Amino acid sequence: MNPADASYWTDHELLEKYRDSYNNEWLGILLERYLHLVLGVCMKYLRNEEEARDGAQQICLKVIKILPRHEVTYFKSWLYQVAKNHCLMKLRQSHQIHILPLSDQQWEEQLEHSSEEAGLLEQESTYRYLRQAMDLLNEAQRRCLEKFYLEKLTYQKVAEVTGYTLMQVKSHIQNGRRNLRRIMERLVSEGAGDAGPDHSKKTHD
Amino acid sequence: MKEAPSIFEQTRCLSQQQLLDYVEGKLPEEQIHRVESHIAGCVMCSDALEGLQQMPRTADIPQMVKQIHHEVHRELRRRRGKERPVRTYLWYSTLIAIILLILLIAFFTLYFVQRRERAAPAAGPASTAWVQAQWPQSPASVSRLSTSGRSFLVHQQDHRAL
Repeated sequence: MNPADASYWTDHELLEKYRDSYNNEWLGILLERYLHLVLGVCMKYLRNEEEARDGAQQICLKVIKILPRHEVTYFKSWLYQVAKNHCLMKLRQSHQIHILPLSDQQWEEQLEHSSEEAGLLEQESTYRYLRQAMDLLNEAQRRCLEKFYLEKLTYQKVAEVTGYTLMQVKSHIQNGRRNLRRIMERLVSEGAGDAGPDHSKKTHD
Repeated sequence: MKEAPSIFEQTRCLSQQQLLDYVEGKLPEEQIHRVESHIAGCVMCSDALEGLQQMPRTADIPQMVKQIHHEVHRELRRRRGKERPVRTYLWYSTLIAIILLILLIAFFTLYFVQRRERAAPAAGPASTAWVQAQWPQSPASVSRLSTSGRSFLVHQQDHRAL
């Protein structure tokens, strides 16, 4: 198969091809897919155009160097952690931040978390608990989620309707989605038949 | 709640053009919602979007990405064939170890065969013939000749007679 025809292949397929042949062209395609995102992540953390460009380049070179020695399953998540770690390290070196980069173990935990999410969502029965889970969210998160997902409004429109700022809306939707998943996981593990939702455990973040 | 599954729907990550169009406000509402739905569940795209929104000139972004892309491909070409996985190294190591073992066995086999031959230079039928040719009058003088190549013995009395 020709690397030039690989635009519709999944990351996993490209990673497998790279692992089988160690042909760098496959890795080139994979990196090319996420270059703009790596640049954006660097810009978010480093807040400087030049540093972001150098950072993105260094991250890619680092990936080329270390990927053969790592067993990577989810390339995008792994790349994101490499990028974020690199930026945090840079900030730490320039004494702008005192956060330690994530260790390998923490990375794995994060990746496991995303794969668990995919696993949970594959269960059809999960959606039976969605209404119950929505009721357990705090008011702001529930309102934003309903406006965004059910009424299909944009962040801007949700902000206008609810009176929250754009950043608050974004935060409520992202946190609400995360909390919703956690609550649904809990409900699935407890089993809906055993007990109804515990309304005392409302989320507050 | 028939629209519920879209809350956790996992969609393909945002392309450079989608991000730029979103940042520059060029997308229709439906597309904006699609981008925002994705970033609600994708931390990398969300961070990237936040970062790209901070760029002073969004028009420069494609050129910057192109430059990084060029550098990355140059490095990939330079490193072609240099990176080997651990399993390849293990395979090569095993192969080299097997070859060394074969060479070692061959060396010691040859060494011991030569040593035996040196220890018994006159052994074998050819040597017997030579002794008989030298002393044709006393064929019995060679009382015992080892054909194994280890040693040959000549009776003391025959020596004296010679």
